[in-house]
Amino acid sequence: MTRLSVARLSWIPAIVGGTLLVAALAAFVESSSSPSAAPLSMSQISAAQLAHGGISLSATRGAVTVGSAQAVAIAQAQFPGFPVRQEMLARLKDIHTSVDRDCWVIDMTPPGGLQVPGGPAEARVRPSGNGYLIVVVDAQTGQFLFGRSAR
Amino acid sequence: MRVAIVSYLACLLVLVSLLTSVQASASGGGDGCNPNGAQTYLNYYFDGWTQPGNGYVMYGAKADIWNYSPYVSSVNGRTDASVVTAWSMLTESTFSYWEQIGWFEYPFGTRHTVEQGYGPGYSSAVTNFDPAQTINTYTTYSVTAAQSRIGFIFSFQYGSNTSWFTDAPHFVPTAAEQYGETHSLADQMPGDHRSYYYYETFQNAKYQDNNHNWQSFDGSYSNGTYFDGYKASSTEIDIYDRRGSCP
Repeated sequence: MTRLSVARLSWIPAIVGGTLLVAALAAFVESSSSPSAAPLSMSQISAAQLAHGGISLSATRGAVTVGSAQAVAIAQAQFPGFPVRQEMLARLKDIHTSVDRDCWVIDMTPPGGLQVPGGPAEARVRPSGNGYLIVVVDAQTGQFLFGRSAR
Repeated sequence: MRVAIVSYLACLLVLVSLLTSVQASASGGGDGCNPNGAQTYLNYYFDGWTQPGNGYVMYGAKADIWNYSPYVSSVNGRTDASVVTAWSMLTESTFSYWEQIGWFEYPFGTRHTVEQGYGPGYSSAVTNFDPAQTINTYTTYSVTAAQSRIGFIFSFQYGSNTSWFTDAPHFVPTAAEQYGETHSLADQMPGDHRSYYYYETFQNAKYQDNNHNWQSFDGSYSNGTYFDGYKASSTEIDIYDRRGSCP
């Protein structure tokens, strides 16, 4: 083996190591900026509107045991007669309840928005009503977790 | 002949039970009676009491509230109009911001435990719907505030559940309220006029003072045109609808 050949071979570990490092960095950057990490919207409720209600949605992290029809039936039992505009399977994080799990999120907003009065008897401003209504069902247990309304 | 009479009576019994169930669902599935009032949705009607405080921070408001199921009117068949509710609340001197918890009932018997918050920076109130408590039972509905570095953090409890937390920075709670609330004269204010036993009761009503001690709520109350109340003690108020077709 010539001196040149030995010198070339000595570069191989460095090249392989560098390639692996670049690949790892690329994977990290990819995972950090992956579209699945960004908050998801529903078809008629934006991610910003959901965030105002304390909720962010992202891609699910595993298989679920509750199907769409079952989740909708559970939601309709909580709000009978309300329309179902969309059902969506997502990872749901909620700042108000600390829920962080795969859920069915069902948009049951009535036409024109949900009427939700509120506020003190003496209030002059009533910033309630005409908001969305989502109903959240645990995708593993089928438990009704909560409904949420905001604008 | 005897078989025919028995069959006829059986059919009559089924018919009567069906009619009774339809009437019950129209009145919300519970205790309610139709007040036969005009449809005035959307307006705000209240019956209850206010504890205005003395200018100091108020850290909590709670009461054992009877889970009454009133008559709730519907506007054009909407499932979300109107709504009747009874609640306990922390608010502040201008009544611009609040955190409240209680029961809600929409038309056709849709009931939930509801927490609602509104503070500076909120573009609208945020409302949370939890499973309903059993009607004709008492539930302790409580909202408390804890001072933190960023402001006040409000937490809500009903029964044995700690249900919801929210941040409302820069909102300093200094007053408390406990009310029944309707949104049309066609709705029934919780409680009816028959007797004490049918009132909507807020008992063991307390507010938490600036030293974190629970005090008797002892709020201010005044009678209204359509609704009435009875201040049974410094920790209990009973409200009811003066109208109604209750027997």
